[in-house]
Amino acid sequence: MAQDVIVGVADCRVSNQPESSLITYALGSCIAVVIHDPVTQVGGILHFMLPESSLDASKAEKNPYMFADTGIPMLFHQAYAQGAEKSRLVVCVAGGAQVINDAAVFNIGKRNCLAVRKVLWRAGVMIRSEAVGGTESRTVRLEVGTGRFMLRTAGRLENTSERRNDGVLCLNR
Amino acid sequence: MSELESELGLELADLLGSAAEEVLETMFYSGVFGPGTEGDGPYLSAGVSFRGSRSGSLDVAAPESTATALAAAFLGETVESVPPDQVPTVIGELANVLCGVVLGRVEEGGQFVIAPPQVCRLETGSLARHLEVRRVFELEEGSISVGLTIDDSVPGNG
Amino acid sequence: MAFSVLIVDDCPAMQTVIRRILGISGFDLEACYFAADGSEALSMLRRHTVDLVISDVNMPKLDGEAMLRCLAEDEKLRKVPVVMVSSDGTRSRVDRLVGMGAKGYIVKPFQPAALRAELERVLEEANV
Repeated sequence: MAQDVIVGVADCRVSNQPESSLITYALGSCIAVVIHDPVTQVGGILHFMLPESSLDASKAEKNPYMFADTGIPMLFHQAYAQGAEKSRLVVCVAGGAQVINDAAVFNIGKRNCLAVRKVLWRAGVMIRSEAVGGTESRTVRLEVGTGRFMLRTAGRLENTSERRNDGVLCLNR
Repeated sequence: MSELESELGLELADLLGSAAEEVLETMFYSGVFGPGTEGDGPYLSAGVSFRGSRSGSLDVAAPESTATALAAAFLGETVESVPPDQVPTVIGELANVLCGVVLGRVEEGGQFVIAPPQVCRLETGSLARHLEVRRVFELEEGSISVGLTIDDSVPGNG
Repeated sequence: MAFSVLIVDDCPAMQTVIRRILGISGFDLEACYFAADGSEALSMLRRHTVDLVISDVNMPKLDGEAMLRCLAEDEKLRKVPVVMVSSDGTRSRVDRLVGMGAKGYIVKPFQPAALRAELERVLEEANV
């Protein structure tokens, strides 16, 4: 029976259960890093809020998933522990929108985009696809058994993007 | 508006800003926050000269700590692990790439040859030079100064 | 199928970045050679079997454009696909180099995924 596993804000979930799906909602300036190993069928989503843990070291210690530089390594290590291999991982990134009330902090969405690219580049990981920027909130879903990655952007009803596990994007309306 | 900007009829400050943003974000994973103030020296400065439809030079200068952070990001290293001898090379490449982007926008369809970068260390003192447009940008890693000089003479042949 | 690459750039840091992108892209690399200018590149191409050249344009001694001209004149070497990587993205330069035989062109600054995509396209077209 299909199981939806919700990934909250500043949260991370990894699964090797083929019947489960990982979902994260309300990606405004936050970013979801979605990974999937098509051979061992291990998938994970990290939903982080801020780029660098040096912004608030005590918060990072309490919840490393809040930050790109601490959360992303943990996502990958948890996936490896469940049988994923780095060289096989398909990595997609979504979010990083410019939120209207962002005036107080320089475009945190863009800073998050730069941070995720920087961390993954440093880790030697190629990003397969990105759905970042803009001003609209996003929702992301990963089917662990198939690797299907679905993206929904707010404000557009019944408009979902589906990325097959070979990386090809197709639109379903 | 400088003499240069007046002659070219361009908002060179905007052009330098957008070019710096594009280069720094794309290959150095660094966001440009806006205008900044020159950081504390010593600085690493890289300059490239160009000739063609127009001749001149572009240089970038940053405090060594900023240059090291940018080099680490470019190479996919940490600040602690980046080989020190690579830092000047990377800042030279930053000047080279930035020059290419700027020239493409100053004169679309123009033909240019960009010379290899010259990198040097500046201890102190103002980075301002005569007859140029210079802007300082604030980054997460510190600040970076970008200067553009276009020769006052008749444009050369490509 | 494994293939060999020659990276031509006078900036060692850019050579490192391109080599890293090749590595993390999942390409099956048999060998990777480096040259600092077009002259060194031609010398390498005569000594080693290379399936793909990735080359800068602005280089001292022999630049990318002159190197392309030399390759076009060599019956064996003209078959090796060349992807130019350059900060000069002006239309005139791109058109000229493609007209001279370059199979791909990437303008700096570029994201790693953009270079990977261009290399995949060129390799597929060349049946490498």
